[in-house]
Amino acid sequence: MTFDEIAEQTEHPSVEVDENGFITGVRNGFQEMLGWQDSLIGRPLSAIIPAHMHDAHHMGFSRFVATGQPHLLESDVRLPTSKASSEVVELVHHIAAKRFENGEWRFISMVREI
Amino acid sequence: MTDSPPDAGVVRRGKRPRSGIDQSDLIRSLRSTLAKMELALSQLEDPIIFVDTHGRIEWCNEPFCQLIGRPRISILGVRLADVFPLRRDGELLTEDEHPAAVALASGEPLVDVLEYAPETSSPRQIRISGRSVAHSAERKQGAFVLRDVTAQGRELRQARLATLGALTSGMIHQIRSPLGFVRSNIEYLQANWAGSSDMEEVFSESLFGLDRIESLFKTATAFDQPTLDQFVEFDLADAIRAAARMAKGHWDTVAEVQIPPNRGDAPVIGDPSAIAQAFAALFTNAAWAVGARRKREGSEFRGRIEVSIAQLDGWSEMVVEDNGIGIAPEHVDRIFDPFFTTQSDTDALGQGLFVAKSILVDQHGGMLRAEPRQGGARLVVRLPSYEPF
Repeated sequence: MTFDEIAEQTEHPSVEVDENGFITGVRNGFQEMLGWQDSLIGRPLSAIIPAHMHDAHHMGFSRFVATGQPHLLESDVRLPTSKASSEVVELVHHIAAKRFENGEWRFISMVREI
Repeated sequence: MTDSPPDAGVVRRGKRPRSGIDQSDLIRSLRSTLAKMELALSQLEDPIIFVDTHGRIEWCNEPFCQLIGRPRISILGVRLADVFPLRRDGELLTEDEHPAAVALASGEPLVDVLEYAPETSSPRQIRISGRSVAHSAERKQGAFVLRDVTAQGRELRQARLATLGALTSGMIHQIRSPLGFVRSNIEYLQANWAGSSDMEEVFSESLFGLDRIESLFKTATAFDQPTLDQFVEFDLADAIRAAARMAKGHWDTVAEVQIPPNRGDAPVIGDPSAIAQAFAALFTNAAWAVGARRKREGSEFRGRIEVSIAQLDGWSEMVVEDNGIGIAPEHVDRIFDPFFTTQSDTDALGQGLFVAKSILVDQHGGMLRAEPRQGGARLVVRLPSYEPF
């Protein structure tokens, strides 16, 4: 299944991110699932990542964009996720990535509760 | 399928991040720097850890994950002290004593060598260096680099022991010489003294004291490390026979000794005279236990010391069983300690089994353990089998 098909056909709440690490889209009630009243679009992905994982996220994300070598892609991973209230919940993330013709990476994470 | 970023059906507000497209170059530059940093730190063999204000792990490289045997994702946010407990002189450090807490509290560079004792492998000596950075009064971060210095520590200890050994050896040589003429002078005085019985007792006590000092020196010289050119291939059965002959004065009148024949199937490599000395200590110990039971039960008691040999996977094993008074359970862990003895009726100094263990375990990489059993004792020795190429 292509990135587009995954993005369009998934029934799970999902979040899309550009290669700078900013949220570019949300689907299927992702925002509501995490209790966000204001839009998540335009916010850095770290808004939904607990503070103690920011360093690991920034370094791993940056390494992937530079090298294309994934650690967490294309498998179900249980990740602590921050809600708007700062409460941290553990969700199952399935993350996919695609590099487009213009050289930019895009990411999508489909989430479900454990 | 399209090669343009997908758009349909997505809840979107604005095409650009709030931070503005003019910041993209800066972000790309920072991400590039982070990527290089991540790649460089991951290439290093030394474990590296970043922690937050509370000592919780924010990032670590793969060598640290390998050191503690846990994947990174499972330890992010966990306190370093919980996944990486450290000891100093055998004592587990408290949370406040852990280097992560010390560096975060002081803000000063930290270098320390501590013991990390994982449950599944042998203890490691770890040099930990690091320091913290205070972003604000509430927000600090610490970075630590670890290095396994177990091998260097062992080499240092061996060098110190070698120095100590040389010093001890020199001292013994220096003391033995005057000891010789002190002994001969006392023996001369004793032989020519026509005085009181009190003085006879003083001479006897003095000679007894000299005997003990000389015995201690003999023990100390047994610690001279064998050099590799003293290591030869021999059969365990030959060393057992030599040991039995050496200790015959102890067991001859109290026990019947059964020794297996040399079938040439227990080859070991080592210093045969040192190993025979160690085995002789086992015979002497067994003979004393049998003799003690004979004293208790009378001359009808038939003492027995049986030796057997077996080949195990990579080991030649010798078992010495006796039907003596046995080993009290509370003494099992202590009988190999120096100066520990239960032989109150002899001049034993509690050195025999200690020296035997030193020779067999420390000098030859073997094993030695005591097993109490019904109606006697069992000592098990294992030495690495000699396997010619």
